Amino acid sequence: MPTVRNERGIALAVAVFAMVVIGALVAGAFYVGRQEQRIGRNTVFMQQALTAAEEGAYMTIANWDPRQHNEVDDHPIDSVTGPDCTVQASGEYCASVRRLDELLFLIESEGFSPQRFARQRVGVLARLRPIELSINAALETQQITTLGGNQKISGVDSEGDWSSDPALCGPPVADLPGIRIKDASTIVTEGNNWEVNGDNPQNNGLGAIEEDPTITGDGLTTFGDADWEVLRSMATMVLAPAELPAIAGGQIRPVGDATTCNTAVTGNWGEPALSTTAVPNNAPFVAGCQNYFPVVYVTGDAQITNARGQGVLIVEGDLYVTGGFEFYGPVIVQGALVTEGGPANDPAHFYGGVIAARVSSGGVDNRLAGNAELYYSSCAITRALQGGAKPWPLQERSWVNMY
Amino acid sequence: MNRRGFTLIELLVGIVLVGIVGGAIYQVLVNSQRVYTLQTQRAAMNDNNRTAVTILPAELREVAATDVLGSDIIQMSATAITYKAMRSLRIICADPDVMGSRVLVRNDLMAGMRWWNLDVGTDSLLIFVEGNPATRTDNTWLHASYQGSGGGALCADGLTQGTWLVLDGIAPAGALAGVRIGAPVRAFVVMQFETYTDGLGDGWLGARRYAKGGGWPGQPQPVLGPLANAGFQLTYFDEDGNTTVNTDEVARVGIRIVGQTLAPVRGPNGLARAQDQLETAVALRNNNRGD
Repeated sequence: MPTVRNERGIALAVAVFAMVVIGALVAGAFYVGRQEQRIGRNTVFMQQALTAAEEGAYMTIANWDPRQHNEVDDHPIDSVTGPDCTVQASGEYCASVRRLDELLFLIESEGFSPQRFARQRVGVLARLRPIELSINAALETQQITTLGGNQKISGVDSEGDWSSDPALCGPPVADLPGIRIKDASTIVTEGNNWEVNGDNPQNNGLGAIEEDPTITGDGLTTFGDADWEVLRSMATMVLAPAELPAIAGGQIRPVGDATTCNTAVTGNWGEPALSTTAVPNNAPFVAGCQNYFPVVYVTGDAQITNARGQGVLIVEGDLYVTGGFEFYGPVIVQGALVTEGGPANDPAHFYGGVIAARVSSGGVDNRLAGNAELYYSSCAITRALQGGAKPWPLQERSWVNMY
Repeated sequence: MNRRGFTLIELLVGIVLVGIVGGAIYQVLVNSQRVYTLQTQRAAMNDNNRTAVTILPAELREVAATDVLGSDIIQMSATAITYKAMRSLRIICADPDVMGSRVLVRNDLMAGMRWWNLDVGTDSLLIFVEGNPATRTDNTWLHASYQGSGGGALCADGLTQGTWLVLDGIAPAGALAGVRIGAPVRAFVVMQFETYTDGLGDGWLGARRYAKGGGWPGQPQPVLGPLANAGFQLTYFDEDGNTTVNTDEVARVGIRIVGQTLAPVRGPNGLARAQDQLETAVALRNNNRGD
């Protein structure tokens, strides 16, 4: 009977050893490849997070709500608003606003990649940019102005109804001319009931009317470093002429309640009245809109019959005001100002200053008749400009990597 | 006694079979090792390239080339750049001590890469000057050298602590008086990125920090490499997208990195060092916006 031959060898061991070594090498290569892929993907995540963070900072500026941010105190107390977070498919961000001083803000934005695999934090230093208006009279214009009716123009600093709250306004400034005009000889008067008050440093026999031949249309619509284009870009509300009559049945008035203000309503131009003063036409007082100062830009001629508001009113064409009108803040009109009609017990009131540039020599002339009253008000100008101001990134070195 | 054994034929067949199997295994092992080496070498090279396109844009993004007191880009060429690298942000919390040439900054509000302390030997400061609050056209940044800490003090709000920063070489002279509470302060160092060749003939990208008292301390420290020949290229563009050689016109910097593997790897052309390249561009965020 044949014996079983001993067939033990090393083939199996060698094969197993080789497979282990090869497996290790292949696994190592896969591991390196996998790590490489992960590192590459992390770079993408980091870039997504940075992009989201930057978007957060700049969207905060673009969507700036003056009522929310302009009212906070300087650092360190009650100086931060937010964070406001936004989630998108491309990433998410949380941005907060910190006030550094009267004008400066630090916007801190933390951005995340989708699923929050990466995080980046950037800051933007922004400065409030109130419109740098230089109002030099109750009414400034180039030429041809008709004065009539019972209209009153005063360069004496007035606070209007706001005088009942001493905290609202600073001390009055020196009197200004009632009218500042390029060519006083173009003024046409009708009747004797009109009135122009104020100071005229020229003492040239024109009463409170200052004549300045250097006035130009561009000069009247350029303020500091802001020309008309910049001015328009600062608008927080843009209205076509046809929209005005349709607003709330033709009435522009604050919309909200004691604590809230519905700024989405285009007929809401803020609440100029105080709780202690009478509201025109016994309309309801809206405390929530007292700090709302929109910058309203009308893209053509503006016809307003019933309005109560505050802020800055910018009109691309002519401004026609008939009937009840009460507005606190500067009014800048590219064309002419025409006031007519209006009941004696509810005249058109302008507190601030009106610039009717009449940049084009043709078209309608300024005509102030009816019961319009134009008062220069440094307080209305200051409050309107600061209350509605929006920030812009510092001109230089605004971007900060906050890590 | 069992005298059975292997015949010569059996041995020869066995040896041939073992040789074939062994050769095959050896070939697989060698190929596996080559793949592994290639993978690791390329991964390291790609890491280097990615490092470059991560670090350099992060460094240059915060630069302002348009500062009227001098561009943050001090020198630039296709293979080197010397610039002011922003390192931290602080906030003034009291009126400046004009006579003592010092400003008090908040301890509770700091940010940046290196906010916890300043280095007298290397750091300088930029301080925002509001000027006339009625206009933004006169806003500027004061330049000064950091000369050390002047101790602590209570901020003007009476609530938080601050640290005095002593200044020197204030430019423009007298500008400190226009600094207001709340003004941001940026600390920066002067950095240089440049290529150099090591003892083996490989190109590297190195960085070094300028010492105010003693110039450039030694050789650059390696940041990434090895680089291929002409493997680090910077291109400078102005705001119109044209290339420029003027440091105060730079609005965007193009960065091209061509890295190579540390060791040769076998590829289609035999044994050689593999190369790969990455290109990116960074827009300088802090140039004057002109608006």
